[in-house]
Amino acid sequence: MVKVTPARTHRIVPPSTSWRERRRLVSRQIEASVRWVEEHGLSTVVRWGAVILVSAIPTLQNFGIVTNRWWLLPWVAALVTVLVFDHHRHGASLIRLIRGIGYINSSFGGSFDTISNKIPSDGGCLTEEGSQSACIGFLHRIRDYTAFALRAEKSPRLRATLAVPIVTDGSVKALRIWAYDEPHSDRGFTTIPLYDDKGQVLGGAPAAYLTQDIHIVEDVHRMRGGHLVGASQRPYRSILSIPLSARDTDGKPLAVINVDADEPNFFEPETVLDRVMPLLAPVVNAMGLVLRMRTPGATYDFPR
Amino acid sequence: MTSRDKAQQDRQIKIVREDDGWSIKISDTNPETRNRPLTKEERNFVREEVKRGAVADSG
Repeated sequence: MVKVTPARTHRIVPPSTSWRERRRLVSRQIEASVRWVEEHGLSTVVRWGAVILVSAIPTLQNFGIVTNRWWLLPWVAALVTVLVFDHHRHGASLIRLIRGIGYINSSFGGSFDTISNKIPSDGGCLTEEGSQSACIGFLHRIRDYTAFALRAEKSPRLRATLAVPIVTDGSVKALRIWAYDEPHSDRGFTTIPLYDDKGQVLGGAPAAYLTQDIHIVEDVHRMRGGHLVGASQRPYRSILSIPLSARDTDGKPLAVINVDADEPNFFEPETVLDRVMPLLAPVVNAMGLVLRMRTPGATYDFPR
Repeated sequence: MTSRDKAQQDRQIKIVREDDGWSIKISDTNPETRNRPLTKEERNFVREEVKRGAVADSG
């Protein structure tokens, strides 16, 4: 005799739970449904469709165009959809926000793990290779956080670089890109002079290094002095330069982080201060920690 | 006055219009509050400064 196993049914609410727990579980289910609708780009259609039904059905009944009383059912369904959707929309947005930050944060945590493993067990300093790979990981997070803060996951294209001071005859005359967020095909490890021919401080990374302030370059193609080689041909148009708060013995930043965008006028003071810097601050300071942990007096290596 | 109010008073933001873009100086003795999001007053201040800088630039 064949034993028939009863079909398993999926219970939204498990039995023997308190009223408060049941309410929370149902709320989570509805939030998940609202999130699904939002993730599939249907939220505007669903909400506005329901709003139109809620307002149109009584109007049409009033004018005698709709006389069947069964039209009350879609009206009630639309009303419930609007109320439920609006009530749970904030929860769904919050979950989406947490997932977005969590995705980057988990990688950020992994970068710390990499550094821990690069530190010699006898308590020594980070090597050139160890500190550079740690900085590359952090630069990647900087690009991700900036894209998340400015909603630029797809466009414009962003890139993060780290410019370190180059000491010539005992003083710093220029900065040079030492690390990129990823191995871009067009990376050139560019040298950036601090001053123009008239001895004036150049904008962007040089100004950020010397003044220790954040600097925004609106368009590289219209930059004074044109100190970047082939500036008018560069695909990255706007630059956000952030000096590290960690200082060397002269009180100057250990390095300057640059976030480049291939769109002019992309960075604005308000969004940088309000959205970008709060997210970037832990990564920027972690990078200062990494550079501080390098072998004292070690110079930076660049590809020939 | 709460510590948060005190921290808000301690942070000073200065925005200067440069030839190539903008320079932003944040003065805050407390590194824990240095990079927090803008308050409503700070946001208004930043908007005014940017507007003023843009007007000076076009003029």
